[in-house]
Amino acid sequence: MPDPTLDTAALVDLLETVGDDPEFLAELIDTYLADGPGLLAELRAGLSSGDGAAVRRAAHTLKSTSATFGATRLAALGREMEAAADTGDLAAVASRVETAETEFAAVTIELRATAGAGITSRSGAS
Amino acid sequence: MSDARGRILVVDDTALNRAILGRALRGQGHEVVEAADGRAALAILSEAADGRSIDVVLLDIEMPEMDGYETLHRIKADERLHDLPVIVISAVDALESIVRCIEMGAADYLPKPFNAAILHARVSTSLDAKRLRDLELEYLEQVDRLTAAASAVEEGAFEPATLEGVSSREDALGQLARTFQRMADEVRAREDRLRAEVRELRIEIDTVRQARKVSEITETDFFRDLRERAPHLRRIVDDPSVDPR
Repeated sequence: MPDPTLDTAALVDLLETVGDDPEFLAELIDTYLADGPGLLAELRAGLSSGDGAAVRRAAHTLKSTSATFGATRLAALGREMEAAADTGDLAAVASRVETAETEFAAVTIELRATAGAGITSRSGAS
Repeated sequence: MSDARGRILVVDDTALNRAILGRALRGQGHEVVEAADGRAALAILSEAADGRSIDVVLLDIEMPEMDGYETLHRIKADERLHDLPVIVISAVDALESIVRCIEMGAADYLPKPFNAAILHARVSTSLDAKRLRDLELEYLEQVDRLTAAASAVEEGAFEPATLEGVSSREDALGQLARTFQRMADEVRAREDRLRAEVRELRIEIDTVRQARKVSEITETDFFRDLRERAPHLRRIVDDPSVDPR
């Protein structure tokens, strides 16, 4: 079964990690969604110029931050692109960028909807 | 595991990660300092201007310019920072990176995405380890001072003030320092008495020598004869018309 677009359990973990502060979590979500397009742009720029290191860094950050916010499919794509960049296979990275961009759009919608509905920690704070 | 509080340096080029870790650590009662790259981290660690040192470093591995490996290497190569606990931040699937960092001297690793309970456990353990190491280093430094004091006593250059701090300890080392100070004081007092006795002895010897010199002169026939003739000689001096015979 493919990974879901959004794993809400990760958001609950994140809420607890930041001390059950929903306003702060909302700020973090805003930052993640605001940074996403820039990261994808860095990927494309790195691919255009053949800068494997820049591609790897962007893929790594996309993987890491997406996992933090429960964007599991996007995190998996980031992991695949990072691994491909590690071996110098920029073509393999390029073949996944458009999928990553589409996935990021889906994550944006789901994340905003989930945040809008409220995320409740295991202690009951939301 | 204690609930010790500390000053934690978070090194990560991703602002989101710094924000998350910073909030989590402050929520757990720690003071947080942030650095966006390895160079900034090393600058913060070297700086002692405010006298507040860092207790634990949380270090991301993947960073541009100077990555986590290089930063960790430089921390461990610096004698002043060698014992500082470094917890590397890493994705769970980066086993090789984690092993490499631990072989380079990292104390532990923190998996991403972050979990509050694991963060608390890893940081607390490192804080406890640092506190123990600080106590050990302080103990060794005070043993060195006691050893240096012993050499100073032999050279006659011991100053009791050098053992201040050591002698106020309540453990066996403090007791040893107090005993040492007492013995050093007794030795000094004995030496002072000895010097005073030698001084008195010298005075006596000088007095006896002088007396002997005087008697060498006054106990001769010549001096006795001179003493007998002294009144007549005085009369001659006073009245040159007196017959000198």
